[in-house]
Order: sequence, then structure tokens, then C-alpha cells
Amino acid sequence: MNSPADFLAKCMNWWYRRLATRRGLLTLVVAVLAIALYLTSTGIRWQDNLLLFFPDSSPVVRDLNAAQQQPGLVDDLRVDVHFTQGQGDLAAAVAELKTAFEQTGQFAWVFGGVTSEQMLNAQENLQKLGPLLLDQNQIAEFKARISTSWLDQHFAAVASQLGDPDGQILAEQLQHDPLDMEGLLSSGLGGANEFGGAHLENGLLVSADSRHAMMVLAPRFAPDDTSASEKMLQQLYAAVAAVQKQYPGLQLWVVGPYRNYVQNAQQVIRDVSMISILGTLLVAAAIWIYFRRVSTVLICMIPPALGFGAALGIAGILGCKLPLIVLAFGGLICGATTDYGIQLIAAINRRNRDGAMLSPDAPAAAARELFGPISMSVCTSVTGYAALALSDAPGLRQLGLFIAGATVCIWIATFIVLPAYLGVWVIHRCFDNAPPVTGESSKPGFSRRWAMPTFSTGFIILTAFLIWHAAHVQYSYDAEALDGSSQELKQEQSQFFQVWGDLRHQALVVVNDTLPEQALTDVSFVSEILEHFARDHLIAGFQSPADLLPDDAVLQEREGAWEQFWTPDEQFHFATLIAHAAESAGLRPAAFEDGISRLSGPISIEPARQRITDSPAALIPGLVTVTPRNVQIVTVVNLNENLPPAQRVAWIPSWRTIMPSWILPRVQIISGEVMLIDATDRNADEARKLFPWVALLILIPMWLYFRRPVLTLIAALSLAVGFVCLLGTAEWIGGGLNLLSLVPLLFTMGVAVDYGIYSASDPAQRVTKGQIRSRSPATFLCAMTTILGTGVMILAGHPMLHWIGLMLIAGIGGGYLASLLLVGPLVRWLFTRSSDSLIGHELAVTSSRIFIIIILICLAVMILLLNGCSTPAPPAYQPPDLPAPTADAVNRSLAEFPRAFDRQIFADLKVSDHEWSMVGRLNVTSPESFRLTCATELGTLIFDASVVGNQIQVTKIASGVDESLPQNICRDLMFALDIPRNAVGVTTLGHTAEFHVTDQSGDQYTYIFAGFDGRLQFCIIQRPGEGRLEIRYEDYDNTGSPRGLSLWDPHNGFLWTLNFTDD
Amino acid sequence: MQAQASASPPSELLVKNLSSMQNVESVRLTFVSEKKLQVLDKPFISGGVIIIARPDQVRFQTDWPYRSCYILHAGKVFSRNQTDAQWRSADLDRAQAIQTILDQFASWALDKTGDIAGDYTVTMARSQLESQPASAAGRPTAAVQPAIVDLFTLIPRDPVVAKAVTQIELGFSLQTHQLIFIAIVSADGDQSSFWFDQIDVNPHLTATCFEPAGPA
Repeated sequence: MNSPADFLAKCMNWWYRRLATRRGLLTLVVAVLAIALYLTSTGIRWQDNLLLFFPDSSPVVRDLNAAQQQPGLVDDLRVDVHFTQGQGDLAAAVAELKTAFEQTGQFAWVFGGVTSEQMLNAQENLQKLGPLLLDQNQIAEFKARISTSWLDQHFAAVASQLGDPDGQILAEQLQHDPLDMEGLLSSGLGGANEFGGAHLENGLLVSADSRHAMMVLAPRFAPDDTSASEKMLQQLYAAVAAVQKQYPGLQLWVVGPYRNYVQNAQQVIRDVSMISILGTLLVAAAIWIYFRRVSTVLICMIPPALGFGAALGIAGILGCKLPLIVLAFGGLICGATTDYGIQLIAAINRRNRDGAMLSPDAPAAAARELFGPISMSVCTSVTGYAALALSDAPGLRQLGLFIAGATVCIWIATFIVLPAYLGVWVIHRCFDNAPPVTGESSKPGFSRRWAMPTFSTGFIILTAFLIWHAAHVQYSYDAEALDGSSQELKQEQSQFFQVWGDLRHQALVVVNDTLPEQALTDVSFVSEILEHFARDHLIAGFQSPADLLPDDAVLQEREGAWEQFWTPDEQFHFATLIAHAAESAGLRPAAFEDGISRLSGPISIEPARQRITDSPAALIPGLVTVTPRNVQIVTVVNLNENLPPAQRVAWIPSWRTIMPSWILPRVQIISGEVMLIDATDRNADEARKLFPWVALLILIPMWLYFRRPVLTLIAALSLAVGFVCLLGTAEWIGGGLNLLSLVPLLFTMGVAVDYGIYSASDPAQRVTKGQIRSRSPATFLCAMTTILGTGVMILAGHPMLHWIGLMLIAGIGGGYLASLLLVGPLVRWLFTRSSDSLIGHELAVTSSRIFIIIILICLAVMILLLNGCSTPAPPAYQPPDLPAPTADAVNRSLAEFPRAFDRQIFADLKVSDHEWSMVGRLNVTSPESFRLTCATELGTLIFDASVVGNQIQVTKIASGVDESLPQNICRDLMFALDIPRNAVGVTTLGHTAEFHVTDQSGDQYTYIFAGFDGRLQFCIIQRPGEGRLEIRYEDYDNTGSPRGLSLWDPHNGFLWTLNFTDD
Repeated sequence: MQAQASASPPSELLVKNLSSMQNVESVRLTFVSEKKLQVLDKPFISGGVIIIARPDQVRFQTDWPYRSCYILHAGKVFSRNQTDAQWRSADLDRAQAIQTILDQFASWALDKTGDIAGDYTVTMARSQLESQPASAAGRPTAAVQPAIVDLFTLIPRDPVVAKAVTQIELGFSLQTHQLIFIAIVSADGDQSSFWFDQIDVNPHLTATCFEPAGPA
């Protein structure tokens, strides 16, 4: 009894015997502990808003949080007011609703329309500043109207309509505004209106058909405060019901994030209650059906109950924030961790049936036998769960860490307490009624002989089918697929969007500034850049108040030009034309004298704050918000829905790159669609990065445990097949992957491999059939409990939980079937063929080996957390399977290669300790003269560098970025751009042509060309002192320009891959 | 013009007059209009028919000196004049103004009074109505003799409205209490007056009366 394993066995025996003899006290302690932990769990701060699952490092999410601090259009409720039958008095109903809403005290402001005074002020402001609001095109149009033909026609038209209902108004408008400047300006006002077709009518904001009026409500809190939102909505609908009594047929459609957040939270609460209870009951029922003993159910439930309770209690004591959906994983925890009790009971059961002496030490023996497999299972599961801690989304981090912590607690509870109860159970219960273990001992009949091959064949076909689907799996950007709002709300939203335009496909560019003048300048910048994007079709269009709100500099410039235009001669000419037009139309020329002098006279410019407040743009709710300390102006961008999702939001990084850096802190971009696409892309990126590491973290301990690589790989088949089944199912019936994919992917990796471990470590696989009883029936029950506990999520009403449930069923189910139909037979075959027969070989795990495994896992996690990925090399160059190009083709291609261009880029930079995606611009006038500007995907400038005559100058660089980085990139880029204009001495080699040259400084160049058109594919440069540089040129367009290139500089430790994105 | 005092407040008397039409579903008014505008040396005179039906349908048809027609139907304004080849929707800004005017005509003609006392300062005088312009070119009927009416003057209380409209006069027949005269004076001093000389209550209306169909 000198080995650590023997010492551990002795300790376990002592502990379990001691507990078994004091089971009353133990039960009391366990009960008190459980109650205490559940009581302390009340300290947990449950989070029920969906924003938790969006990455908090995302600039889009940060923008949203920043914008929520300011009043305005960002978070509001929009209310469509209309009558279902006939035409009621909309204005009166809106006024009544406005009063009722204000009386609730829930809203910072309520927009029910504008007052006559506001309308008149806006109109006066428009008329007063009119000439200075005209852009160049409008000015040209305006000047063209000062002509005999236009004026005669215009005056005659008005004169011919004097008998019309509005004849008097027409005459007065003509008198004051003979050139109809207001008509010219109205196009500018239309451009500021975010609600297509809507207009102000008698102070109300009404739809194009005037049958719907819009109200806007700004609650006093952010929408993620769901309890406050719930209360607010209750009061809102109470107010609506009261007004509806006065106005029969009055109907309202209320849309806005508050309703979605509340309904999602309510649906999650309903679902998690149902899922937790039903999942636990199903697991209990499965255990009871198998063992036919209630005591067995209770024993198997002890570890999850204690462990989960402990985790909740500790989280409560620490005051942790946890997403509410954690509770939906109660079924998963219960299903996955009752496995430990099941395996222990099954081990005792097997010993009993194998005729071993059943003694009070039997539970300890079973615990020792299963300590290794169960610990391995816990290791892999915890690795899978805890990997979520690396996610950018706080909700996923909290979920992963909590489930991992709970699993560890359950593991501890399993080995500290459970065998003691098993001891009690063994002493007081015999196995007289235990069910027979199916399988091995009975002689297989015909049907059984054929069942397994048939089943295996079917499984292989299904797996192949799912592999095909998995190969085509894509990420989905469909917000509907994650939205648990009711059909009623979705219907209301759909109706609302039909009337007012679809707000879901819009982004808001919000400018906030303490200085009104600065805000106007910023809005002007925003508008100018968005115009470029609209021309490039990166966006479908935008509505900006910039035309109506020029800044001081523009106003002064236009004022000067206006005064310069109205020379005395021009005024006389204009007056003469007006007099002629009036006389021709039978009107009195003298009536127009005031209008002429007003138009051609000086214009007074109010201070910026006043202009903003009195602007017609301020009449549109939320578009312009002026407070004593802040001015907020919103530009509405219509996303181009014809583009693929990734390109649909590509304007944002480009815009942030182009935008002067000093403006960026004052501007936020808010869009649900942009946020979803960004979060999904980040999730996809995380999944891609995490997968190899998590797989490694799972495989290394397995290898240490099994000690044979082949056995490890066979056991890992469960993981691989489970993974493929998940991906295939996602593509086949799951609508693709989404921003929550990390949850089922990592959970599947952690859980599915367990069955491979159980199967590969089953001693029955290594002996002749019937010598040892197999674990497979117990493993089947384990899989059933896990799938039932997890899969119950498929019954959830919330699409997000339903999807996770479906994916986990596919992943875990696939993993289990692989363990049964692939791992088991392969392990059996392996040991049958093995020359060094391992019959009787024990895979008992010593404490030292477990210790090593734990140390390795910790080290791997630390490396992963601290260092990220190492510098990856690009994949080896594979020339196309075509004949080598001719020298002529090579020279033609070199002649076509672009020497000067100015293009947008999207680049991926991998350095030893970091990976960046970046966007920017590469403006090349020659290989020795270019400018490279790079920013992060969502706008933070990384660097701005110029190369002039081989001199590299870094003009701007983000803090924390080493200046050598842009210098190295630019230096390498010079090599990439400076390619020969012709190649003499081209040699062919297989599928490629090569050209070698050495320059004066001793750098040796190898250019590799391929394809019929002889495009340059690859360039290897050996630099004395700086080592090798590899440049890849990719995906040529029909003008001979590469669409992408990559620089691999092992000496300086980076791989920079760029694509030109302006095709 | 002869004033006559009354015991009730003028606004109540005005509402009482307007109420005479409360059970009327539609009305057909033949009108003569005179516009005294600053841009004109002499008044512009026109005539035609206004047909109003509950809840919100109005046809404003000018017959002379030129033909034009405006229809307010289902919240939209359609128009056609003698030179137009077909009916068209009025452009947004103008449609809004026309709709407001036609709505206002319908309110006064069919007892949709609103809060008159709140919106206007109302005074009343019993006086002889100003004569219609009898000698208008192209007028198809003979001039109607001046009548004694209850003439209500409405001054907008809202200073913003007052910047556009100085006052409105509504004249009601002493016998029928029907609206027979409207005059609107703008802040610029321009004035539009309407005389209604044939008033048919609940007339037979064709199905297409408020449809943008047929000639102007």
C-alpha cells in the first residue's frame, strides 16, 4: 500500500464507510447545505436581455450603449395611430393619447405632432435662410428661373388658378416668392424625412394616405431594463384602453425595442421554467425505467442537485450576473451529470452479476474503477463549457463559466458523497430485482445478428448525408430566427413597416456634440461621405438634415456668393422680367415689389443653436434633439439589402477609415441589423479560432489517459461525428449557424466525446465477448438522460432555445451513436488484432496522471488566454493544373500589372501575439510612392503611413501599436508592388514559369507565374539580413489586377493578407 | 347694415345656426366667388358648385370663367381642369392646403363645428349682406337681391393662425338658418368671398360624384 493509488483507495474506503455509518447525519448536513446554498442563490442578478449575447468589445454595441445615454431617436417606441373603420378624428385621438401617455410619467418626452407655432417658425426660418440653403444644383435651377419664359409661364399658371379653392393662397405665395424658392427647398426637407412618404399635416405626422398618424415615445430608461419596460408597457396599454373607449375603432401599432426585449424575456422565463422541470422529470423517468427503483433515481440526482445548488449558491454569494437562460441548461446539467451516478450503480450492478463479493467496499471499488473515465468526462465537458469564457459576449462567458463551475461542483459531490449513499443502498438493497443486462451474455439470434450491421449502415449513410450538409453550412443573419417575440407583435411590426417604411433595414448615424456649430460641421462630413457610399451602392440611400442645416462656414460662403450675384443690374433685370410676367398674366406689377427686394436683399444669419431649433428638420421626431448641454442630429441610412450581409455593413468600416479621427468619438452608428451581422461574424471568427484549441485541450488529456494515440483518435471519433452531425443538422433543418453557435458547438465538443471515452475505456471491448460485462447499456442510459435533459429545449417557444436544443440533440446524439457503432467496434477490432494483447490491461488512472492532466489543461488555457494564436504561415502554394505559361504570356501579364491605383482594402494581419482584421485604403502612385491607411473593422485608426521615394513615414498610429509594424508592412509592400515590367530568361517547370533576378543590394527574387495568361502568382524574396519574404498575388480580374495579395514575413513575424474590396 | 343685439353669446348662436344642418347627410351649394387680391387691379369673380357629403367627401367645381374641379375623397385630393387630359392627384403641399380648405367648408356647411368658442372670438350682427358681383363676365344666372342675414365674425385666438387669417365672416339665412355667405380675410388684406344662392339639402347624387372620373 505504498503507491498513491493505493493510498487514495484506502482513503476512499475509510471515508465512504464512515459516511455510510452516519448516513442520518450526512443526510441532515446535505439537506441543510442544499437549503443554505439555494437561499444564498437569491443574490444572483439574473439578466434577461438579449444584448448579453452580443460582443461587448464590438464598437457597434459600444455605440449603442453610448447613444442610449443621450435623448433622441435611438431607443424609442413608435406608435401608429389609426382607425379600423372609416375615418375618425385622428388629431383629437392623438392629442388625447399624448396627454394620457404623459400622465403615466414613464416617458421623457412624447411626440404627438408639432404646434402651429413650430410649423410657422420653421417655415419662416426656411424662407429667411432660403437662398443660403440651396445647394449648387438648386442655385443653378434658381438662376435659370430668372428668365422671361419661366416667369411668364409661372405667373400665367397661377393666374389661371385663382378660382380654385386655394387660389388666394397661390396668389399670396406668388407675391412673396415669385421664383418659388420654397418649392425648391421642399426637396431638401423631403430628404431629411426618415419615414418615406410621411408628411406633416395640420401638425400631425401622417402617412402618405393621411390615414395613419405617428407618435414617438421616449421612455426614461434603456430597453434592457426589462422589468421597468414591462411596467411601462402595462401603463401604456392601460392609457390606450382608456382612450379607445372615447374613440371606437381606434387602433394602435406599437413598435420598438422595449416590446421585443420584454416579450423575449417573458418567453425565456416561461421556457426555462418548463424546460428545467420537464428535463429533470424526463431524466428521472429514464433512470427509473432502466433501474426500476426510486432510490436509484434519488441517488443519481444527488450530485446534480448538490453541485448545481452549490454553483448557484456560490454565484449568489459572489453576487454574480447570470443570463436567465442558464436555467434552461439545468436539464443539460442534470442529464449529463446523472451519468456519474448511473455509471457507478451500473459498475456495482456488473460486479454483482459477475459474482464478485458484494461488500460495503463495493461502492468505493466502483468509484475507483470509474474515477478515471468520469474525471476524463468532466475534464472534456468543462473544457468545452469553459471555452465559452473566451467569447466576446458577456452572456456566453457567464453561461460557459457557470456551467463549467457547476459541473466541477457536481464532480466533487459525486466522489465525496455519492458512494456513501451507494454504500447504504448496497447494504440495504439486494439486486434481486435488478434488470438483466442486455447483450453480451445472450447468444445473438438472426434478427440481432443483422440489426447491428443494418443500423451501422444506416448511421454511416446518415453521417455521410450530414457531412455533405456540414460542408455547405453557412452563418445566418436572420434576426427573426432569434427573436422570441409573439406573432402578434411581429404582425404589428410588419403592418407598421408597410405604412412607414421598414426601420429594420436602416442604420442611424448619430452625431452628438456640446457645440451646435461643431455638430453641424460633423453632420456635413457624415453626409458628404455617405453620398460617396450611395454612389458606390454600398448603401441604398440616406436621409440627412445636412442640406437644411449647413454650418457657419458654408453659410458665410453662400451668403457672399448670393450678395455678389445680386448686382444692381441683376436686380433691375429681375424686376423688369417680373413686371412683364405680371402684366402678361393680368396681374398688378407693383404688388411684387416687396417680394423682389426681400429676395435680393441681405440675409441675417441666426446663431447655430437657434437655426437648429427652428429648422424644419427639428419638426421630425428625434431627428434633431437640442438640450442645453447637447445637440444630437441623426442621419438615417438605408442599408443596401441587395448586397450579401457582410458587404451590407462594409460601409461602416470604410466610413470610419475615411472619417477624420477627431470626429469619431462624437459619432455613433446604431443599427440592429448591423449589430447582428457584426456579432454573427465575430461569433464565426471565435468559433474558427477556438475550435482547434478546444479540440487540442480535449485530445491531450485523452491521449495522456489512453496512452495510445490510435485509441485516443478512435475515442475522439465521437467528438468528430457529433460535431459533423451538429453542423449538418444546422444546415439541413436548423437554418444555418448563428451568433449563438458557440454554445452548442462547444457543449457538443465537451459532452459528445464522453461516450467515446466510456466506450474506448470499457474493459469489455478488450476481452472475448461475455468475459466482462460491458458498460454500453449504462452508457446508453447516460446518453439518453443527457439527450432528454438537453433535448427538451427543443420544446421551447423561444426560437433561440429551440435551436440550441435541436443542435445539442444532433451533436450529442451523433456523438453517442458514433461511440456505439464506430468507437466500440473499432476498439474491439484494435485489441483483437493487437500483437501485444492488452487483455486485462487496466486503465486505472493514478492521481499523479490526473494531476498532470489538470496542470496541462491549466497551462493550455493560460497559453490560449495570454498568447492567442501563434503566427500562422500561409498554406503552401499549389499551382493550377494547367500547362506552364509561355514567356510571351508572362510578359503581357507583367505589362498589364497595375502600377498606380487608389483602392479600398480589407486586410487580415496576424502577428505573433495578435490578429487584426482591418480596413483601409491603399493609394499607389508608384511602387516607391504610396499611402496606406488602416483602421480596425469598426473604425479605430491603426496607422496611417506614407512612402515617398523609399522613405517611410508613419503619420498616425494608434497607442499601443509598435511603429515598426506599419514600417515593416510598407517596406514589404514596396517589394510586392515593384515587379519587373518584363522578364527575360523565363524558365518553365511543370505547371509554372519562373523568373529569377538578383538586385544590387543582393536581394534574390523568384517570381512564379501560372495559368494560360501567365499571371504572377508568387514571389519569394531572399533578403540578406532580413530573411525570406513571400508574396502571394491572387484572384486576378479581367484587367490584369490582382484582387488580393498576401505578405508573409517570418523574420518580422507577420502575415498580412489583403483584398481589394471596391470591385 | 343694421346691427341687432342678442341675449345669447354669439358663439352659441353660431353653433345653433350650424346645428340646423346636423341631420343633413349631404348638401349642394351653387356659389359665386369674389377674390379681392393685392396682385389684382380688379376683383376676380368665379362661380360653380360645391357638393359636400358626410363624412369627408367634397366636390368643388368651378364652372366659370373656366372649368375646374377638385374632389376630396378618401383622404386624397384629385383635380382636373378644362385643359387637363385626365384626373390627377394634387401634389403634396397643395393637396394639404386644398384639403384643409375643403374640410373647413364641409365643417361650416354640415355642422362639424369643433371648438368654435375656443378657437375664435365670435361677434354677431344682423345686417344686410354685401351684394353679389352681378355683372361678372360669363355668369349664367341673374344677380340675387341682397338679403338680411345673421353675420358672424370669427377672429382667430391662436396668434399663429392670426398671422395667416385675420378674420372669417359667416352669414346665415334668417329663414332657413342655412349658411349662405363666407368671407375670408388674410393677414395681407386679401379677401375671398363666397355667396351660396341655391342650396339643395340631401340632393340626389350620382355614384361617381366624388370619384375622379368624367370631365372636370
